[in-house]
Amino acid sequence: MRSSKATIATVRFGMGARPGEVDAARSDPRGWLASHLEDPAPPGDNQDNLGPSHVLVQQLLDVLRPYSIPKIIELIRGPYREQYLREAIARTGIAITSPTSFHERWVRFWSDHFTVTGKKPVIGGLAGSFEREAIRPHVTGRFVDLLHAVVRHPVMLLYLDNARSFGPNSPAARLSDGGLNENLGREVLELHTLGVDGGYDQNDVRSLALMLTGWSLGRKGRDPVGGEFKFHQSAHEGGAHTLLGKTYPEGGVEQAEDALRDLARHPATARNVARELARHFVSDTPDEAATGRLARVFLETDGDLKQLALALLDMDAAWQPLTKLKTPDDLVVSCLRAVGTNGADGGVLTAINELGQPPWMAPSPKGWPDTASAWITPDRAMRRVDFAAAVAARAAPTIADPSLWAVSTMGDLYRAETLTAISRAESPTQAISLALAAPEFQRR
Amino acid sequence: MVAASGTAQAMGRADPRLLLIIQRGGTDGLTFLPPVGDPDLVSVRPDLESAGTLPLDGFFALPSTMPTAAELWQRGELAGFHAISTPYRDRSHFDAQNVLESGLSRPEGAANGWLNRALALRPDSASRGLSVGTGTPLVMRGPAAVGSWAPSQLPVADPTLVDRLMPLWGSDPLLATMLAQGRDLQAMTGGMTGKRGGIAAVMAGLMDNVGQLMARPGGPRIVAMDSGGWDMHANLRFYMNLLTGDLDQGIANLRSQLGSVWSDTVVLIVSEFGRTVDPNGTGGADHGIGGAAMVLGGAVRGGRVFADWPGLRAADRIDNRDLRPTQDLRHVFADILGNHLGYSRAEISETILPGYVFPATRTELFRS
Repeated sequence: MRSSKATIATVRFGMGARPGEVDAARSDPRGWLASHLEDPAPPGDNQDNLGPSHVLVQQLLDVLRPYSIPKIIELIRGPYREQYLREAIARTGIAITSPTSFHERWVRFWSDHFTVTGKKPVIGGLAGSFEREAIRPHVTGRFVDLLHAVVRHPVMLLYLDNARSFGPNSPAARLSDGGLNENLGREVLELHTLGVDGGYDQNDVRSLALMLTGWSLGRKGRDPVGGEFKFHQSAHEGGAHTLLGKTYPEGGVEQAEDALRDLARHPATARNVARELARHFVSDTPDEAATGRLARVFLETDGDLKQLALALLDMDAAWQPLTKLKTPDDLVVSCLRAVGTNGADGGVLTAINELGQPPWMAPSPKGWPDTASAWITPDRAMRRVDFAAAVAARAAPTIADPSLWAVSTMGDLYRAETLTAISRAESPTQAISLALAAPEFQRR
Repeated sequence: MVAASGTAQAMGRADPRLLLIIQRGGTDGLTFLPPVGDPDLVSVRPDLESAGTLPLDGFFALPSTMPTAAELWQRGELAGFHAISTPYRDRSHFDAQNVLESGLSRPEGAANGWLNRALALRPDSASRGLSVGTGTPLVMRGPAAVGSWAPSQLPVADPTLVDRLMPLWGSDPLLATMLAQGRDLQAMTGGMTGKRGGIAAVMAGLMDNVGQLMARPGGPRIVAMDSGGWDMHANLRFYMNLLTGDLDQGIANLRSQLGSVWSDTVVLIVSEFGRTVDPNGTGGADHGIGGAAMVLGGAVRGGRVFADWPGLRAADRIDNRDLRPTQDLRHVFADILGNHLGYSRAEISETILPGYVFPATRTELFRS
């Protein structure tokens, strides 16, 4: 069934309709979405007092030097666990309440593109600060600036092990048993920029890793601020390095910056980003036309991410019937938006966890899967129903007329058959359950 | 035992069980199955010596965190494979996992996995496949309907709600299939809520649950599950201790839950690739091609490590860095498929592992 553009705007581009949003979007769905990027609601109360990353990172540095496994575990189970919960509740709360939810989806998309994950335990408490500092402020700017902010962020340098990567011939390596770690160099090429088929080889991986040596952290006592980015010349592998056939002369921190700038503008990067965008906003198997068009816009605008988002809104393919399966995070957030919830709490987090997509816990640096086959199993289908029923039970006292609520909130999302089932439910709770567990509500 | 015949039905057991564990991230084979008999090991990995190991055949050993596995070795119920890999020869996790799970020779973005294709060849028993976890790994995706299970603490919805939803979900073929199977699945997994373990007891808890399910008369027979955290670019020793200890406890729990059907069971433990021979600069190791695998269970004729050992010196390696694989993981898959699960050679080389060529001699991995 084809829903109206206003309904599609709230579901596919936004995080799901809150009461009143479909009406607000009706006269100009595209303009309504564009305004989210022009004037995003500040994360506000949700993110106040979460603290800067350098304070959190310094706590880790304090237990890494001198290295103490019991103290690392104590940090992970104590302050970092607390921080993770506060960050995750704040992030989920923003998604549930934001009046500019296209912007929130756009933040989530880029946060996933540049995944850091608590599957590496010390990162759990830090991931939120990474998203607040490296991702959120840059998502409507240029890709090159986002890439720079990400790669130099202390949490990424810790997550992909670059903070302790020493040039094999650097003075620091000669004084210690340290050496090269190619993790960040590889994932920048494979995931962040060119993509796995982007035409690089093992020598390119090593070259970028060598150029990135020295990209590390400042330490309390030695540097003005501990836990912030610092380029350590003594750990840097001097000399020229060749990446994708281009030689970058020795230039300290600027050497890798130059390389990142070139990677950000590479046609393979444009294709890689375009493919992910089309998969997220168009379909699990987008056609070449959609990907090609987004890649062209990326190159023509020099990676202007706002222009890229607007180009998406101008594509017919992005307004076709809702066929993407909501991920668990999408489902939880959209259910709670639909019933007008005013924020998140630990219970919401538990539910997202049960459904399999807790914030910043993606299985790998590749991020979460973005296709239906990865997110639906027979068991997961039943759990979606369980979750809808749990939300409905809590919301029922606040919804006087479920049939009216379903139509006024979700617009023309539902087929007549579903509306009939909602109206014939044996209780208000069951009516709301049916609306939130209906097949139409599982798609975006 | 002789090589499996080319007839339509190969050998197999009456009610065989298979648990596939995919270690995501690239397991360090030099720690998982240390070649302590190689005189060069001490120079490339000096810390392995101090960590202590459990000796197997004199050349290979197990980590000291795996006493249960060592006991299985003593009973002849564990076999190792070393210097092994899929046909993939590069170092991307995601392409390597695609090859491992699709059973193809190259990363082709395959939409289905070899275990699912195997299940699809036996439509009557296809519903006996189960993936454990909140998603379905590629190896279990494909034409055959497979079950799924993950621990859940959500209150179970009123069954009448599902009854009312079924006709509505009928409009969405993917969802309709899943919901219908989900309801049927209650017979196979019903009542099993499970519990999430802490960071050091993830597999211990899940494998206990899996053992309970696989022991049930109507329970799953072919099960796939993921184990995360093996991409150890830093602090490898610490994390290997943690994860191998958890795995070993999981093996103990599984065996205990399976009881008498342990003798019909094979557990295959694989990863998408291995790690570099030399440690990197941060106490870890980077992505490398050759690695190790294990097969264990009451049906296994073990007590052996299969390896054509290439050596650890720079000249022995691929690109001076990675352990050189000298055998194909698909031989192990094919052996299990043919001689444990009873698939014919034609089914294996045409459908389950397309393009796979059987070697001249086989490993005789299973008890008759």
